[in-house]
Amino acid sequence: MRVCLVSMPWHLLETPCLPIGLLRARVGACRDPHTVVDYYGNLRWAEYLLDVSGGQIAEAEYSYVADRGVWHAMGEWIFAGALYDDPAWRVDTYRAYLEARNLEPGASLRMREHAAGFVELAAREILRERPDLVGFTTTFQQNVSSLAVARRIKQLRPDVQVVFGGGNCDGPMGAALHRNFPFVDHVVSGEGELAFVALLDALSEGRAPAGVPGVVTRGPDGESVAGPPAAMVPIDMVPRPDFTAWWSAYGAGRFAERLSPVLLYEASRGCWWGEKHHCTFCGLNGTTMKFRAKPATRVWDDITHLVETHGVLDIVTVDNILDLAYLAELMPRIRESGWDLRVRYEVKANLKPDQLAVLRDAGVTHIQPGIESLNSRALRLMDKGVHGTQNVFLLRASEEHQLTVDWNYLYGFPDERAGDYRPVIEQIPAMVHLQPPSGSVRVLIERFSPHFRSPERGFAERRPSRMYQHAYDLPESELEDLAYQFEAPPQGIGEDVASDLRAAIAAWRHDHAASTLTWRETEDGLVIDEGRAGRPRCEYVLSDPAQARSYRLLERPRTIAALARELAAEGFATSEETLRKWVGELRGAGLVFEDDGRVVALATDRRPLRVAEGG
Amino acid sequence: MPGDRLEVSTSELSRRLAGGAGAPVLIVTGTPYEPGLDAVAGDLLWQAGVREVRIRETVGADDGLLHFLRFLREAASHGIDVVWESAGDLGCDTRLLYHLPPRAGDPSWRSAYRYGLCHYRVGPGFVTVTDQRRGPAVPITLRGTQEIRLVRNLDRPGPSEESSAFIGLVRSGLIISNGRDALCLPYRLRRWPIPCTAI
Repeated sequence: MRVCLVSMPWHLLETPCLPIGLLRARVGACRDPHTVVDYYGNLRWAEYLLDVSGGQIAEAEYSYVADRGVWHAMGEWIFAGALYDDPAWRVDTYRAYLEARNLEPGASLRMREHAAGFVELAAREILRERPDLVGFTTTFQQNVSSLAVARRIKQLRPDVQVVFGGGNCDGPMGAALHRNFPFVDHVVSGEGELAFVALLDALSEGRAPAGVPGVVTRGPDGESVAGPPAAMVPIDMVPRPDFTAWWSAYGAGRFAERLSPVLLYEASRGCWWGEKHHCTFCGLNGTTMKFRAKPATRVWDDITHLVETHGVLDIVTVDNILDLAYLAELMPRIRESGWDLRVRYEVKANLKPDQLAVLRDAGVTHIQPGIESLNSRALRLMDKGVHGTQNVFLLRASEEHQLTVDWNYLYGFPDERAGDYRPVIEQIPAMVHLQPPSGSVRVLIERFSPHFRSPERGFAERRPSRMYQHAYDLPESELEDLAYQFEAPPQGIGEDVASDLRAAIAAWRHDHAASTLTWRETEDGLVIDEGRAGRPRCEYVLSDPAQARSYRLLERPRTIAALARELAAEGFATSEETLRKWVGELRGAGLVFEDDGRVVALATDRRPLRVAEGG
Repeated sequence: MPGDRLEVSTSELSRRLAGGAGAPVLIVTGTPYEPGLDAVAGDLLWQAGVREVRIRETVGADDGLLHFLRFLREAASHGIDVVWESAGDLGCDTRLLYHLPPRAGDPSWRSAYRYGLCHYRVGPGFVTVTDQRRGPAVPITLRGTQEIRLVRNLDRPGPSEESSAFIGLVRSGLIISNGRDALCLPYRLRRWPIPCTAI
């Protein structure tokens, strides 16, 4: 068969499509040989927009919809007019949605005017490849553009088999897609490495794919027939991605001279923390939480091959969590290579400074530690397994190790209280020299998360997120199965506290670049140099050896009692009462952070090297 | 505070730093064109705890300028500040130097300068060069063995060539030549700033 694998908007322009890279490599496992061609509809759409707008709608406008719009189904709405053959479909609904949230539409309204023309072009370009089967991979906002093109393909060539797969097809979402869009012949639901191969085998051998594990197909009357759930894919069967076709398309296109490509790589699936404690808001692992990691030697071989082949040193891993074994087995090997990699990795927030140093030395310069909050009680409500001072400790250690940290402040958890936020808000001005969150948002309810699966946790009155109203012409009962994001009456803190938190974080973001707070050892004792925005420049001199030693011990979070024990073990006779008074003074000067009975020092051991984003 | 500063002459600098001397602020006396200054790599400065260097003598157009530029480049690769002054024209297009710590009293240079403005990164069999001295630009990848050899060899001042690779790199502003000697201008990125996505 001739198989065309398609990635539609709004996949990012500078990264190859990992699902296509994986399936390309897996098709070789089919019983019959197949010819695979790729179609990168996201790149073609961005080029199309450049052309029709005379260069006015470019990569920045695309990125706005892809990055910001993903939380509001902007990209889905842009193509919904083409899917429903009505350029004016739910324009008012969309505008009202944006206005209610004070959101800028970006170029989305202009983009919609061009969507139908592009859908026609894409369908014809795909058919020019003479495919027997067209496979659409869909994650986040890729549903509606894929559906629109799939529908047009079936109109032009009804004999072409249309297959959907990807994150948007996991669990009930895949069945709902299949049920509601009759031009989709088959849906691969869940991990695709085994199911897609089995589907191609069945089709090429002329067998009906009914009963293939992980595949939803059509019965004799066009009804949906779901096979049994697919078995979890062993990590050994996850191949090295084949990005050659993407690189050719990217290199031949218009964005190679405008953007810097970034490799995507997947070393593991599932979440080892989630297996033990599922963070209550997280739905990322869908139906496959079980943690599986490639051996370090395979990861090294894969990375070597990809970096050498494509000449790119920037890598984003899509793993949900770093396999800690890689710290000893993989990272030293990368460091020894001498390559100047820049790698982004999701990690757990309880990494120690020596582990952060190992990551940095290997080129893991960018981490996403899932901090979410700086309050221990709120973190317990999320089942995060860390306390607030540990998160502040990680922020400080990251600053000292020159690691960039991505994080978000989440609120709106059932049973949380204003008292979980007020003390943090009060202490934020003392932390402006540490990396701020990108923002603070009320927690969303994601399918597969404990919040979703267990309504008794506090989100009983949930419904599909309102954004789906401007993406699909479907009743709410169908959206219940199709949607990934849900909403419910707000829980936890009220808007007054949330507003104060957002304002404090906005100030943090504003002040960070100009703020430092560093300590140094001198003959006079420990000196802390004040350089935070909004405070007069000064030196805090801790000349009492017990105080100086205490501050150093508080580099790690400690209770006052533990601090007193440590000091006593080192020969300092300082009572808990004295320490408590003294820590109170340090907190008054904003030199420590305190939460849930633990204290952690805020000053860093060196000035970080910073560069303003965008020059 | 006395322990924060160290004053050393260029001829002594390399030996003193290698011997363990160091301070956050390093004051350098003596001629800034001396190969002794050139030989002080950024690694050595960084490991000695130096975060700022002050050059006492003024810098001007001189046959030894490339040695000073190499010192500036090595310091810049670690994000170490260098405070220096020039006496008049440097005898070259200073816009090529905007990725190096700016000279005093040159507001154009100072406003253009930022860490990482023109740097290279090493990969297996290739080098990527990011050069944003003239504005935003995507990295270019050097895979040619001649170009990679020049980047490596002209890490320190070396003889100019007539090879097409050399001429191409001079034209693109990645090598500076005084007719006799030449120096590779981008530095190898030694530290990632926060945020690392800014460069």
